[in-house]
Amino acid sequence: MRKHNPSSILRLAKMMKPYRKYLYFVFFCVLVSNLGVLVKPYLVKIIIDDFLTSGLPQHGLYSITGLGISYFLVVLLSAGFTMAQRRTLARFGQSILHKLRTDVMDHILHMPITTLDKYGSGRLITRATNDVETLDEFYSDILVTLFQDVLLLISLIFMMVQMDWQLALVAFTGIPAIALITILIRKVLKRNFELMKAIIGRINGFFAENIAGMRIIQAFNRQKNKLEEFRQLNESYLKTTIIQLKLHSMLRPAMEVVNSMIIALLIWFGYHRIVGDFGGTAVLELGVLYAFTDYVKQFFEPINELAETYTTIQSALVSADRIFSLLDEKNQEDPLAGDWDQPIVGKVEFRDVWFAYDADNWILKGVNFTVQPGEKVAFVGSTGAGKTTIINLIGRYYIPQKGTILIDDVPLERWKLKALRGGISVVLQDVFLFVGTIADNISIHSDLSEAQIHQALEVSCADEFVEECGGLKGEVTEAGMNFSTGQRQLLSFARAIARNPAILVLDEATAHIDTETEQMIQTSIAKISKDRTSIFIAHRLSTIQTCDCIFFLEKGKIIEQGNHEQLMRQNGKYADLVRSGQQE
Amino acid sequence: MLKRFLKKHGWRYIPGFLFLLISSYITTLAPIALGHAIDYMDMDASLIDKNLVYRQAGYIILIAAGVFVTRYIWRYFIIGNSRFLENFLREELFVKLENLPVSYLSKQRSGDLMAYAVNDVGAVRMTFGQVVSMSVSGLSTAVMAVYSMVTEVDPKLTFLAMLPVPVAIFIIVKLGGIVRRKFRRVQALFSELSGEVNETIMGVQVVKSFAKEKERLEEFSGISKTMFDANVNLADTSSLIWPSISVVFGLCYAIGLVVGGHMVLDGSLTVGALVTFNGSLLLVQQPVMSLGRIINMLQRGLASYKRLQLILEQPGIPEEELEDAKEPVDGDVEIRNLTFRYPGTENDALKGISIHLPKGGTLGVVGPTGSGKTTLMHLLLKMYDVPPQSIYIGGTDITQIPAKAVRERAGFVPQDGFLFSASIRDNIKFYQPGATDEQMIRAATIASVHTDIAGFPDGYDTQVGERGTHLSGGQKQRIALARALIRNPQLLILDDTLSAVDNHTEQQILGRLADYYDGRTTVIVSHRLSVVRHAQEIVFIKDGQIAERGTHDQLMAQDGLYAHMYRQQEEGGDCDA
Repeated sequence: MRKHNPSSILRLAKMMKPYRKYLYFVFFCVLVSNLGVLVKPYLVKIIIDDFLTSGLPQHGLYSITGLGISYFLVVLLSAGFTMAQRRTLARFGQSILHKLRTDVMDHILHMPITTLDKYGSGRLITRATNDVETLDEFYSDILVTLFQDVLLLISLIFMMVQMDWQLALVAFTGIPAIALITILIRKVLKRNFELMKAIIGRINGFFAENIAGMRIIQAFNRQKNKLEEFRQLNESYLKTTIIQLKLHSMLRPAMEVVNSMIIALLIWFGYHRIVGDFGGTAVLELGVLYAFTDYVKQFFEPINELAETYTTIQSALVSADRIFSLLDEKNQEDPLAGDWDQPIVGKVEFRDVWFAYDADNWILKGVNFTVQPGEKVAFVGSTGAGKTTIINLIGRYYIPQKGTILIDDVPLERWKLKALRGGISVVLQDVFLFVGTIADNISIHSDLSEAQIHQALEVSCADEFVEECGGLKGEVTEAGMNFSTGQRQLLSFARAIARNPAILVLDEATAHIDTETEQMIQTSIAKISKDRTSIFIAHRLSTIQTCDCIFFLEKGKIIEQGNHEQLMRQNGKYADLVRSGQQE
Repeated sequence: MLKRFLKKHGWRYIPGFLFLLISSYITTLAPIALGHAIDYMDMDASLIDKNLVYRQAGYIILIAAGVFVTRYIWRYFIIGNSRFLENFLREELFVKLENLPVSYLSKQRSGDLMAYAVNDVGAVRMTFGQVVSMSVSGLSTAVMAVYSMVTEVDPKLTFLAMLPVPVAIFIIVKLGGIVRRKFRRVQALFSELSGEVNETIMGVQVVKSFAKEKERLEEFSGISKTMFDANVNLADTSSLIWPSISVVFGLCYAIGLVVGGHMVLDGSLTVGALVTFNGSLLLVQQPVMSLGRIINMLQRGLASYKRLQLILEQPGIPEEELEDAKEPVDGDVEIRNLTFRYPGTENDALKGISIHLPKGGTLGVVGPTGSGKTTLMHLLLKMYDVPPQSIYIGGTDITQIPAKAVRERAGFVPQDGFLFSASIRDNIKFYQPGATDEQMIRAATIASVHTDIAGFPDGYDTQVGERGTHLSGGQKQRIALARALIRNPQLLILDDTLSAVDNHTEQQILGRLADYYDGRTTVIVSHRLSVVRHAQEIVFIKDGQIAERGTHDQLMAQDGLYAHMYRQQEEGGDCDA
């Protein structure tokens, strides 16, 4: 079995603290409605024993009618409390869930990029959805069920012992049998269920993949082979489901058999008591016998639920471990960030900057450069030379191990993060668009006027196709798939300049797109980089040639710098690169 | 769609329902036996007949054993049959998907198609298993229980105590409807919330670069709060159902106790009969309680059944398309004045295309995105219905040749380099599972991907796809190329296959293909003109029509669209080292 972090249980309990009043009330309701379950058979017992078999005189409430009415009132009362219990429980569970969801999200949003990279988006999504749901089940269901079941079992036992301890002992002989059968069958059920889940997962995966690859399957005439593969999976799933069915069909009837055996045993024992075989004067009242048959029936449900709860608690603990370890991650990008909060003018300077993602594997080795406000510069060099790293450092997504980076002559660590990032727009290679409208995607939660958005779209050459796609209100579907790669690029340009940043950092996309769009992107780049400091990670000659300065990076160092003409004259690595690129 | 299933498995319902009815009957005997046992003991100790009491105790055990056996049997037949049905439907669906023409599949969203397989098949199963058995067994048990109350206890008492039951049914149907509506809203919100989580995490870098963490969180928190409200709202209604039903039945029990109790005092009823009465009433209560779930499952099942019916009744690819060719298909490919329009659209995707592609020749197809290049490739593979007299292979109209035969001779390499979740080996041998490793390596070498694969720790056994190694776009494209090459096709179609491959490797592949493909027909679609430069004929497609055609030199001399595009690509050249 998995070893759990013991503090997870404590923290699960701590999460409930602000809402504990709800929980107390729920427990109170459970107590009251539980009382109803116990009292009802007892009332019937009194009717049977006192009036029906002994014929005692009835007066007032102490009469068949009076007890009948009391019976109904008890039902009414426990129904009322059951309702209140469910409503309160929903508020309790949902409050915690809401808090947990927002906490996890808050945490993820504020984690440094390094930590985000460590987790990967897939795992983060699982934490924020599946694991949170599992805990929801814990708070909204398991916790109270556990209380309810234990309470019911204890009070059933108490009630029975109180009424007739000898008969109670007879009835309790069934409990180990019930527990044993339940646990055994459940164990096999669980194992088989895991298998079922694994196979159905594969079947669904198979389906998804074949839907995606149907063109290939048909183009290669492979339908028969795929069908064969599918049949095997489908058959093995059928087998496991039939096993599951057989086990399930046994569980409850097996309990009924045990119950009936206990009832038969009670009748047998009761008979001997009535005829006085056990000596003494203790006579058995028939009403007690009846009440016992009623109580015995109620044993199975809580035991069955407890057996089930055990596995759910385990998975809740696994999820709790995961969520808490996520929440323990540092969620402040730069704990020492200063409070320099001035609008950026646009000067960027690197002074002997050294950086490594992993210890000792230096990506940047003493990089020095200065970009004056309004200048356009480009970084070129082979993959892994450290071009993208420079972008990550300027926005302080990563912190260099050595050296200083300055914006407007102020070291980055003295800047307030919001002010820093607010003045620098970064365009990444992979464009991510949010589901929503075009306007949402341009403004990204900023209060921009329609006119500002229109202008941004116009400058970035995106206005034409946006008009065709329904204007600012035009829909953006998942990952912006309703736009072509080129259109997504242009939208990301518009988004970057809409808030008029002093510094634009652009990682040019490498993908080949058709020439017309390519032209548009080039025009757009020229327009959006006007009047602001622009730093390009360039992949295209046409972008570089107009730059004020080009830095050639190799193995983490700037080995050549100057404008296109200067570098060509220098006849070094840059010149080589340009010539080989043009050979195409 | 169920006829074939019922023919094969329908007989199971006969023993299933038979045992179900027996099971219901036996169930209703239990309260009677308990009542009798009590009656036999409700007398002076000296008068009690020991054997009678023992016999009733024995009956109670026998009844439970009987329920155990019959219930096991009917569940095996009825619920088991729903599992067979699930299995059957899933396979039907899969076969259908494989035989649906691409023209239909491409119009569907893959998420919708998945929903058929995952949700709808499950919902139909529940209807045919749980819904059918719960309603039949609930109804029969309730009816038989009422019958035994009437015969074993007292008709008048039964009538009086049953009076409130219709109210319970009314409440459950009425409230159940409201709960279902509210539940659907919770579900819709839930998927919105999950979507928001996905979006925020996938786009976290964008959010950060705009320093909008706070605003994003507020938006998320807003949706989460709406979800909170919807859930509480649902609970406020659903929390009414169970308590109100139990109140109604509480009234039934109370009536039974008071009226029945007085009847016992009158002497018109025994104590045991009253116990029987209470036990039987419980057997009526249980089915009424489950009514809500039954209606719920039934509604879902019916909706799913309709959706499944819709897709399963779609016409598939006609049988004759899947036959082998009567005579070998070979020779020149000729496209004569081909005009094509996608079904259900209003514009021609291709207009008046005529191309003569001699056997062994190479055709380059270029043009802007959306000009119809891929459509043309799909038509060459007969993925859509080709208009008659527009494409000929070896002089035979393609409409006269089965699709299977057309595809058998072709090697198609799609743009996205789609691979299956399997080893690289299985992916390359996809077409010919019997191919030797030498053939596989040869194909991979021509596709310039052998060195890459050999560099992986597991070599050709490396798993790819969702749970496997992450391959670059270029690697995927080249593996997909090797997959097509291993089948030794007479017609090789590269649909912008080398878009993610760098210039150097691209030229290497083209060189090897030229050596290897001597004498084979090749069609190359590309955005990058360097790829088609050496083709014997290049067609420039624009808006579904051939705008320019000729060799590279002719087209350059013509100084039109092609030449313009070529110069642009030269200028904008790559500068990646």
